[in-house]
Amino acid sequence: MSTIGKDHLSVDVLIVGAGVAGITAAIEAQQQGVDVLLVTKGAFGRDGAATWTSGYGFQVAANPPDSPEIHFADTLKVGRFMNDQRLVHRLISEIIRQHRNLDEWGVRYLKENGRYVMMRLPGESHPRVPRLTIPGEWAGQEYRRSLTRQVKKRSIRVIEDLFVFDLIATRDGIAGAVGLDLRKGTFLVIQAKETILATGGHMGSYRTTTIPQASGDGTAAAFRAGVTLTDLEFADFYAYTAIWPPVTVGEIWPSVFRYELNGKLLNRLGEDLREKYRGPERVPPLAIEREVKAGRGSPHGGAYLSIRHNLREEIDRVFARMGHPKWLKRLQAMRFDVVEQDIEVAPAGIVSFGGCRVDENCATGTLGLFAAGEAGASREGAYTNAGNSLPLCMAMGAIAGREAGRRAKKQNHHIPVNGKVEELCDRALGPMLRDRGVRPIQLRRTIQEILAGYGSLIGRNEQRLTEGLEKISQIKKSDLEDMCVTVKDKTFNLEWREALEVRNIADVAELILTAARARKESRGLHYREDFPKEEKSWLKHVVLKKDGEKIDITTEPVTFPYLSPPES
Amino acid sequence: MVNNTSIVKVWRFNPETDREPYYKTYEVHHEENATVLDCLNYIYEYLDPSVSYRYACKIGFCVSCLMVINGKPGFTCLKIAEKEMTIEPQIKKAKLIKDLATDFQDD
Repeated sequence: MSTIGKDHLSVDVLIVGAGVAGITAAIEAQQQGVDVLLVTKGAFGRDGAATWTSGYGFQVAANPPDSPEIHFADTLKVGRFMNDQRLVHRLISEIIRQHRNLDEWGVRYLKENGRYVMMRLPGESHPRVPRLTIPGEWAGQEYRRSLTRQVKKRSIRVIEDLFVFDLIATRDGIAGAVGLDLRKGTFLVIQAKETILATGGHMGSYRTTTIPQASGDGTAAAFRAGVTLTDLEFADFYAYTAIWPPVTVGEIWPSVFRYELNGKLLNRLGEDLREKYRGPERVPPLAIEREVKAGRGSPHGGAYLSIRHNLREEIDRVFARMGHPKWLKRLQAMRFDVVEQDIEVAPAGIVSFGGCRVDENCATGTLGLFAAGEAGASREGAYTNAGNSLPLCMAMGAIAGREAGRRAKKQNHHIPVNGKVEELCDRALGPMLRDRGVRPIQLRRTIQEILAGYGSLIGRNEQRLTEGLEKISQIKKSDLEDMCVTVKDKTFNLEWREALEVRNIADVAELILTAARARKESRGLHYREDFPKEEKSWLKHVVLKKDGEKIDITTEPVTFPYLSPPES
Repeated sequence: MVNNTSIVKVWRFNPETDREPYYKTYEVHHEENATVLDCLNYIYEYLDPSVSYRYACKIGFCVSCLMVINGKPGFTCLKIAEKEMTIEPQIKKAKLIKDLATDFQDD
């Protein structure tokens, strides 16, 4: 194969990624009366993290006495005041608006006497998660259906199976993006006045993850294009992710055991971890990792989540109320008794908090580029409460879409740097032209091992992070340059897609380790063995930017325009 | 605990190069209670990365991995692997792209 065809498109606003942030961005941008294109690397409405959120999972302060102000304060408290307050303040009011849209668009909320029936998840001052009239495990699907229906109803143009691998840089900004059309095996060059990255997070760079396809595609592309990034050391690792029984690895159904059946988190000795730990290590992901490291983990490397203290009738009642969920039927088919045989859980990468640095309009500071959802940083700060990521990401999409639409009306297309598109396409094609080299999947496993070994929750210290960084930079110089796609088919070539993902994972892994090494304190789930305390002097962002082959590291103080952090 | 084996017959067709569809058979080693999707992932990782298929959520919601398993439509992420299996694309409602990967337009 010598050459690959290139198609060209030109739009006002390009939205990359069709999860909850991307879809909302597309709807809002179109309402500004501009020409919108929504692209996704998978099948439309079937990809993205939020679309299969299990449990009700959408915090909105829609029932007084709860209020946006209280929701704002709760978000900052759990975020350890690392959030961008101007951004979050706008997001929280936007959530109210988006929730009204969802209600109007047919999400089946459960109401009594005109009020939403709310459940309360940890960290909420008031019950803030509206229940639906359907079982909780279908909630993500309910949101997905309502949103995709709007895209169809509004005739928003969608391109599926398009893997956007790079942004097209101009002298002072971004002129659009270039992607691989997986169905045809050709490149698509999209010129856009405004581009919104709604590509999701990068937790697929970890071996234990709930979302393997989240390979930080937007964050990595932005980094290569010279966009400023921040908060990469922060992420959420969901403690109640199944690791046993084996075929359910990476699934988050055990949250039902925790929240509906008051499941107890136990180590090998039967000690209750929530009683055992105090201080910063009390958060379940850190407590579990600490126990595993000390040799007191459950047999498969996590903790037990036991519901034995409940009566079987009570457990059956809860499952019946949930409509006997699919995961339960599958466990029953495997003859796994969830009461008698304790399940095991371990923290798995679920939500990224770091990405492109954005302002309160979700603009990146690089002309022509916005970031929404997990591709944008500082929405949740250092940590989050269950059920807060989905609405915050959706609100970012709305704000980015509206602002990008407004700006697109007032300007012309940016002019790409000469030869830039060809250079980007040649790089993406490289692994296809090579006859020998490392297979993408092998390289993915290697990078995941490095992150697990050197950047895991427990065990981050100066020496290990430095070693991990050396290993990643070695891989970027050698194996990554030699990566080879053994399959040469153009049509729907999964190995080629994986090669593009692996390049992103490598960049993201380097960014995570760099940021984690720079932050010399512990905060949220970023826990440094050598700096175990949260320090007031570290209320600043670690800011990263590409500088040739190096990463330029600076810090920027967090500002507190609305709410100051408590004194102690 | 990889002590189970399945013989998996996969429907193959690449519109780029093939005139007719054909079946290719693979021997897959897996854990007890592995799913049909686990078998496809094993084929991709260890035997033949040229097989095209789709999946996303892995918990039976997104419908990406709907295929025809031993003549019956089903989610490969939920269905437990059998000793002998034939996997074909679901093309009654969706348009074929390649092998087991299809284009669902309706919902």
